[in-house]
Formats: sequence, C-alpha cells, structure tokens
Amino acid sequence: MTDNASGLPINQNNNDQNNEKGNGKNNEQTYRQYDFKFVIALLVILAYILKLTLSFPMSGSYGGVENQWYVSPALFPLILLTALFLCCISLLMSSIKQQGHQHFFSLAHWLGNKDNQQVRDRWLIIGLLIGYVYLLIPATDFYLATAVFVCSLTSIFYLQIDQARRTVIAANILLAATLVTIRSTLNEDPSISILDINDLENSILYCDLSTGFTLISLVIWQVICGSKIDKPRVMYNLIAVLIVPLILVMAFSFLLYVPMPVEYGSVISFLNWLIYEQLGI
Amino acid sequence: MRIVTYLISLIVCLVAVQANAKRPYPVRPITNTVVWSAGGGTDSINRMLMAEMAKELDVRVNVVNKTGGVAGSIGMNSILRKRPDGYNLVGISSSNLVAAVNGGWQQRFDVWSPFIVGSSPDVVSVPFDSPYQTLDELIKAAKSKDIKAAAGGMGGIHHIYLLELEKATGVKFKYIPYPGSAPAQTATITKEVDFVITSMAEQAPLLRGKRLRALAMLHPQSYTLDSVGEIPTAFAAYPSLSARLPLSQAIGFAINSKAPADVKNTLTKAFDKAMHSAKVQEWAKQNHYELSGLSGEKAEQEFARLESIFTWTLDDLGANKISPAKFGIAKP
Amino acid sequence: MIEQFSQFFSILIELVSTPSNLIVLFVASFLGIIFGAMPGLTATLGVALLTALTYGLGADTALLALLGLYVGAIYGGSYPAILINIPGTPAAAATAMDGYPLTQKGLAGKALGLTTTASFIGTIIGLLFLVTLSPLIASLALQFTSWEFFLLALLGIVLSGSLTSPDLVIKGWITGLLGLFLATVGRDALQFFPRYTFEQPQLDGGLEIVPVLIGAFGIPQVIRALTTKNQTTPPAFVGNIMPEFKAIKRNIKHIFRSATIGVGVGAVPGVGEDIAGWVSYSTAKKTSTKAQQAEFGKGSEIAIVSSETANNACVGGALIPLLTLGIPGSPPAAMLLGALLLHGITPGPSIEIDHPNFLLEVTAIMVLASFAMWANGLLMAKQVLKVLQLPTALFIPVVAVLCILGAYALNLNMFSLYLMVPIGIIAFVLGEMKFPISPMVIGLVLGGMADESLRRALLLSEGSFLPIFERPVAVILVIVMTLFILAQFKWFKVLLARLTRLRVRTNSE
Repeated sequence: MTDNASGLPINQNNNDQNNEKGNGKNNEQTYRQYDFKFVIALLVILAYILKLTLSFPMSGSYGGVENQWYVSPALFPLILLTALFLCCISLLMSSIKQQGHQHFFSLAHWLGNKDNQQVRDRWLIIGLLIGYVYLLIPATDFYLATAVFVCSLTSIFYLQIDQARRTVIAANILLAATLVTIRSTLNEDPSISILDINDLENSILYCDLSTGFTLISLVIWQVICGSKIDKPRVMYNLIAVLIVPLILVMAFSFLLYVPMPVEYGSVISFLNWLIYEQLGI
Repeated sequence: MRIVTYLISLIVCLVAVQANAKRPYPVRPITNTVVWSAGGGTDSINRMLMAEMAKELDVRVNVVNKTGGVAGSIGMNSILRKRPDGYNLVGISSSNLVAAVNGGWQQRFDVWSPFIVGSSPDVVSVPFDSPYQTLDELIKAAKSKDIKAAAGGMGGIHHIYLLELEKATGVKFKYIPYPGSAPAQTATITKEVDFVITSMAEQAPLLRGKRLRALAMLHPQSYTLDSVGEIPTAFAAYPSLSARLPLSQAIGFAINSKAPADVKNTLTKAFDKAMHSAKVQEWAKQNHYELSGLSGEKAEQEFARLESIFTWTLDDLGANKISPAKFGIAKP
Repeated sequence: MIEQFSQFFSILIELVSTPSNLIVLFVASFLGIIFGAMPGLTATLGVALLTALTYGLGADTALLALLGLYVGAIYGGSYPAILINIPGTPAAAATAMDGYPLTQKGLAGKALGLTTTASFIGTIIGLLFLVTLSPLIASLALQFTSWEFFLLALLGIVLSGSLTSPDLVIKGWITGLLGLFLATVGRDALQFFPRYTFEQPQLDGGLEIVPVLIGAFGIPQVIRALTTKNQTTPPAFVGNIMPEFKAIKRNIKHIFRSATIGVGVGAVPGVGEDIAGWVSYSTAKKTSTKAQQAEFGKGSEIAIVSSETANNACVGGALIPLLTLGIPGSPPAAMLLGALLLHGITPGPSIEIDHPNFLLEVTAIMVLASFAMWANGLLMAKQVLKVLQLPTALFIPVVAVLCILGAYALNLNMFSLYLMVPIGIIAFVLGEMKFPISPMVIGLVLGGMADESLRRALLLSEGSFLPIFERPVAVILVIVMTLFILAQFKWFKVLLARLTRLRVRTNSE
C-alpha cells in the first residue's frame, strides 16, 4: 500500500493534465476507472452475501410450509445474485478494455482530490449530516439539534465566513464528544446504546444545556463575523437558523401530532407546557 | 436578547415539569401508538375508541402508527421506554404476543396493562361457486386430495385456527401463506386456494356480496348474517375444537403496567364509559365484533392465556427463534 | 348507462349547491397538496390525520375531505420533484427525471402548469372508466393470481432497465438489481425466515420505501446543491401558468394513454401510484419517435405529462377494487378503507345493497376533488415558484431538515433515519460514478412482490411453470414483456421495419 501511495502525486498530475485538456475520451476513461473500483467492491460484498444466502433453509419444513427448492427463501436472492454477477463481469470487461484497472490503489481516486475545495465540502456535509442524525437527534432536543445543524451549514455556504469550516468542524466535534460522554456516563441500562433515543431526564437536560450552549456560541460568532460582511444576510440567516426550525417543530408536533424523537427535550417540553397548560388549546 | 429569552424559557420549562405533576391526570393530550398499520382492524378500532374516550377524559387522544419489527416490537419497545405516566398508550392485539419468541424483544406480556375492546369470530369460507357445500364435504375431500388453505399471516391467529381445525378433524391441508387477511381472501375469490379462514369482520362484505360462501363458524355459536342467513358452528360436528378455541383477537390498547393506580383508574373509567356508548355498540354490531370490555386483572389473565397458546403453537410449528420456556411461559 | 349519467349529475349538482361542502373540499385539497409537497409526508399519513379530524362530521363531508386530500397529495408530490429534484412522494419519482431539467432551463412555470392540467384531465378520464367500466375492471382485477403478480413485477423491472442511463446501459441494470436485493431484506413472506437481518429486529420488517426514496434522492441533491459553484438561480417563469390550448392538444394522445395505464395499474390490488408513474413513463418513451426519445431525461414535455397523468388517474383506478371488492389498491386506499369503516360504510361487493349509488357519489366527489386540485394547483403554482428565488444556501439546509423530519414522521422510527443517511451517501457516490438511482427505487418497490408471488405460485403449482400459459392475463403479460425485451435489440428492430415495409408493399400491390 505504501508503495502505491508514494506514486500518488504522479498519478494526480496526470489526472490534472487530462482534466485540463477536457478530452472526452479521458473523461470516459475516468468513469471506467470508477466502474472498476465499484465492481471490485461490489464483488466482495456479493461474495459475502452469497455465503449468507447459502445458509438459508433449502429443504425440510419451516414455518408450517413444506420446503422445496421453489419455496426456499434463498431462491429469489440466488437468481438476483446470478444476474448481478453476470452484470458485474460485463461491466468489468468493458472497464478493463478501456484501462479501467489503472489507479486502483490510489486513495485519491477513491475519495476524490483532497485539494479540491468542492470535494472537501462534500465530505464535510456528509460528516455534519452523520453527526446530526446519529449523535445529535437521539441525544438532545430536536429543535436545538436542528438549529445547530442548520447554523453549521449556513455559516459555511450562505454567510461564507472566513475560516468558517474550521470553527464549525471544531464546534461540532466538541459537541458530539460532549454528548457521547454525557450519555455514556449517565447511562443506567447497558443495553441502550448511543443510537437509541435518550430517555433519561438528567441526561437530556445536560445534553440540552451543552447543545444550547454550542448553538448560542455559534450564533454569536455568526452575528459578529457576519455583520462585517453583510447585515441583511445575517438577519435572513438568523431566521433560517432560529425561527424556521421552531416553526417546523411546532407544525409537526402540534398540527401533525408527530412526537419529537426526544420527547422530553427542554424546548419541546416548554412548548407543550405553553400550548396545553397556559393557552389550554 | 434571544439568549435571555431562551434561558428564561428553559427555567420556566423546568418549573413547568414540576408543576405538571400536581394537577390531576390528564392535563395534556394523550398519544396512542398503534403498532399495526393505518387502516387495519387494530388501527380503526383504536381510532374510534380513542375518539369516544377523549370525550370522557376531556383531552385530545392522538392516534399514531409505529409499525415494524417483529410483531410490532418496535412500537412496543419505544412506548415501554417512555415515562409510565399514562400519556403514552399502545394499540395492540393478540398478534403482538409472539414478538418475544420471535426475537423482537425480551419482555413477557405482563409489562402491559391491557384493555380489551373485542374480537370478531373466525369463519371458514370457500369461493362462492365452489363444489363444497358443507364443512364435512371439504374435510372428506381433503382426505383424498390436496386442499389448499389460506389463513392470513404465518403464525397469526387465523393460522392457529387452521391448525386447530386440522387437529380436530384429523386431516392435513396444504397451507399457502399470505401476508395478511385481505390478500388471503382475494386469493380465495380468484380460486388460487380452496378455502380461507379469517374473521367475520373481514369477510362479511365478501359473503354478503356473494364472492365467498361461508361453510361454518369456528366459534361456539352459529352466526346470523344479514342477507346470507345462519352460518352453523363447526363445534357441533367437531366437539374437540372447543379444547382451545375460541381464541380472542383481543384488539385494544395497553399502558405500561408501572403506571400509577389513579392513572389506571381514570383510564378504566373512561374505557368503560366508551365501551357502553351507543357509538361503539352500534359500530361493533355493524362490523361484526363481539365486545369484551375486559380491563385490569381479568384482561391480564386473558392475555396470559393467549400468550401461552400463541407462543407454544408457534413452537410446535418450529417457526420461532426462542423457546417460550425461556420466558417462563407455561404450556397451555 | 344514460340513467346512470343523469343520476351522477344530480348528485354532482347537489354537492356543488352546498357552499360548506365546497369550502371543506378546497381546504382539504390545499392541505393535500402541502402534504404531497413535503418530502416524506405521504398521502397515507394525510388521510390518517384527517380521519381523526373528520370523525365527528357526517360521512358525506368526511368523504369529501378525505378524497380531496388524497387527490391533492398525489398531485402535490410533483412540486418538489420538478422544482428541487426531490420527489415528495414515491409516486412523483418519475416526474423528477424530466421535471427538474425543465426547471434548470427556467421553464418550471410551464412544467407545473402543464402537469396540473394534464393531471386534471387524467383524473377525469380515470373517473369515466370508474363509472362505466368498474364491474368489468373489477373482474379483470380478479384475474390476478400469484403468477400475474409475478409477471407484472417482472414487467416493471424490465421497463425500469430501459430507463435513461447517463453512461452505460448495464449500470442501470446493476442498480435495479441492487434495488431488488434491498427488497429481500427482512422476514420473507412465505416462511417468515429472517433474511439479511443480522439479528436486528429493526430489519425484520424489511426496508421502508419512503426513507430509502428520500435518502436516495434528497441527500445527494442537498450535497450537490450546496457545493455547486456559480449558483445561478434559474429565472423564474413570469406570466401565464395556464398552459396554452396547443400544448394540451399536442399531448392529448399521451394524456389519454397515461390515464388508461394509471387506471389499469391502480385497479390491480396492492399495486399503486408508485408504479403507475414509472410504467407510464417507460411506455411513453417506448412509443415515442427517435427525436422525442432523445429529449427524455433532459426535460421532455411528454415525460412529465405521462408520469403525472398516470399517477393521478391511478387514484380512480385504486378506488375500483376498494369499492367493488373491499380490497384497497394502494396504501392510501387502505387508510381510506379504515376511514370509511369508521363512518359505518363497508366497501365491498355488498356496497350497492347497503348504500345505493355510493359508487356514483364517490365519482362525483372525485370529479370535484380533481377540479379543486386543478384550481388550487394553478393558484399555488405561482407562489410555489418563488421558492426558487430563495438563496440556495439558505433554503437547502431547511430542505435537509424537512427530509429528515418527513422520514421520521412516517413511522416515528429513528431507524428510518439511520437507514436513510447511508443510502443517501451511497446514492450520492453512485450518482457521481454515473449510475442511475431510479432503477434502485423501482427495484425496491417491486422486489417484494416479485419474490413472494413467484415462490407462492411455484408452491401452488409444485414447481411447474406451465400454469403461466394456461392463464390469459399471464400470457398477455408474457407477450408484452417479450416484445419490450426484443425491442432492445437492433436485429429485432430491423426485422420489424422490414416486416412493415413488406406489408406496405403487399398492400400497395
């Protein structure tokens, strides 16, 4: 692997030159290279699936139904696997014909050019999305989690604050780490993982406090940095970050009766209290 | 400014949580999570009953659907983990009883305090122009050739009825599984199978519309259906059916059994009132349901009995992952 | 027949003459469009919510509201599909293929106007079928046994394989097969055997279509929209949304064909709007000229008209088995069945005995509902277009949140979200490698039906394939499918061209 990695910059240069020429044929070759990697990855997965499929019951009685080859749960998957193998081989052939197997070990060809801002931004969005869905939503109040997520995206892409990426990444990592720490220390039941919805009241409270703190810090930072650039933009941004998620949360929980993931989060509990007990709707 | 508002709201909300405990249940809307899909039997019964109960409880009762997992295990799991404060109910039926032995969750059913609305009796039917005029003819035919049977989902209540029928008559049918009652009935109309066992509630429109013809009730009493006439009970000809049958679909709802006694009392009162309301009574008659109205200890006992029959039948079929004995479920 | 029509019009007039009915209808239709337009909020959820709200109302008013919402929701799904390339409902997935390219060309207004009117005409045609042919269609629907279901699913798969692929055709087949594979996850319907569930109870019920759909279309779109440089907002269409008479006339052939397909697909129990759009789209492509075919995937008028008309006409089709047999044709129709039961109406063969003229009443309501949809649609289209003028970087993060809330709201399950994100990332990467994503979604929709029906059919016939040739509908399906497959090959086209030439020659002689 290291040998190939050392050859990476050279490949990169070649590739850049190809792109500069904008030659259609080279572009197509890039796709054939993608195809090659895809097929290899898919074949590995298919081999594993085949192993699983062969363990399905092929005969004997199961669930009160006399088993024959034609009732086996493995029948349809096996047909699909055969078809997929054939398709993969066909794609592999056409890929190799056009030199698709080149650059197979180059990491840059798997993940994209790391010097390219667009490529890095795409991975950043994916990262933020993963953090939001897998760590923030199950741990803390939905409104707070959402506001942090929207805030992170708008500071980079809408306000376009200088060095915004660094701050956003740092804030999100810090918050995620805090939430994981809080949840794992306060967890009472070992069978409940980080991915399960938080249902311990003190844990929710601490998670909400840290998320709330992150949100406030990010918003203050946005207002300070953003005001230098464009005032109306900051206003619109605040509406999108703070007001729109609130409207969404209220519409879903009070009009559509969709309970929020963390049902006892601070903001939603407050809204519940406000709407049902104070206003008595 | 925003920050201040936010902090104030946070404090207020904490106070609110405290204040909440002091006022009598219920102060805010109750959510009833039905673990079966929208439009099905359990769903429609819950929607109707909750609308009636809401009048008594004087708060709104929202009905939502949370399907999936093994026999509704996802919905049951998530509701069980919420506060046992009576604001979360779960809409269930006896089909949920097999969740544990199929690896859906690790609970026996006594974690719930059930309220049973009712059940619809099961009926054996053939396509309208089928050559079989009586259940006896069908049973006799099954001795000499393959008779294809449909009975809703695998391991479900109608499947158990089919197995009991086989046991009582000593014949074997060729069981063809369908994902639910509706596709099983449709397959009978198209003559893909020879007969079907589902509930009267599901079959009545097809019987009255002359798409299906009822042979016998798998119920101790015969049943009179408008514009069809009397459908005889199979219990007279095959008395051994009464050993385990009838089984109740036990459609209804439940709350966490850890809920405080006053919450349970309030709910029971509202439940009893709703069950006696004209609307529910009329609806049950129109849709061929036998109302039960069991709650509290009696309902728990009924569920324990059904749990034992359901799980051990599945065990006989070899279609379960975990033995019922592991959960301490006694053999029926 | 004439008597039926006169009765129909008297019911229609009676409904129209009550102003409160009209208000209920328009509000419900408006709500339906909003529901359809929100990614993840489906017609099923809308009907479920409205069932609770209309519990206290009379059966007629409730039915008016429910059907108004149903029709509106199916139509509303086309908004986000056309405007931001995220289909709001599975039914609108085919519309996105050509609707979004039109938006990129700055023709969003035209696209919306055209689909609105085409949907309206399509629904009305669908209803004509409902009134005149419902007993016939119902008996045809009863010809569908396991073999026919299997062949229908197979036909859908074959059709999807020929959808536009930006690169090699084989790539479409691979994603399609992967989609079919995703459908096998979970307990199998015949023996209850857990397949590829990795001991996770969450996977037991299989993969939900809506989270996969939103993941596969929504997430890649969010990533791309945010990181694409030089975000030039397409010029919003100013002026008349009302389509010209000429455009409608030009497409009337496609509207009629698509409506027929929609009704047909909808009438088959258990198959619904999701599939109707795709079948109609592929058929439109197959029957178009070479020049028109080249337009497909790049913003073809024919394509959006075909898919939108079919999924709206499907509503009428889905009501046929529901009302005449008590079998819901699609998931929202299943919810509708529940709602009707609540109001003491039991759909089924006995409905004409219990509630004479109920079928005509439903048809009259449907006509009004589609009219309300059309009027609401034309009024709203202009406002909805303003969405395009919002700055993308501000608007797209909110869309991302909506996608997530929508996928969660469907069954209140966090696992839907945990599933949606990796699917989205995979779909994004596959899209970058020029693999088409739509076949994957079609595969997931059809896979379960193909698997279950094939094995049940074989179980019934004890492993023999011969029964296919004993059933008329099955034979027709086989022939249609064979023609579609053969049409992919050049030699067949040449042969066909020669045959026609030969015939022309013999005729002229």
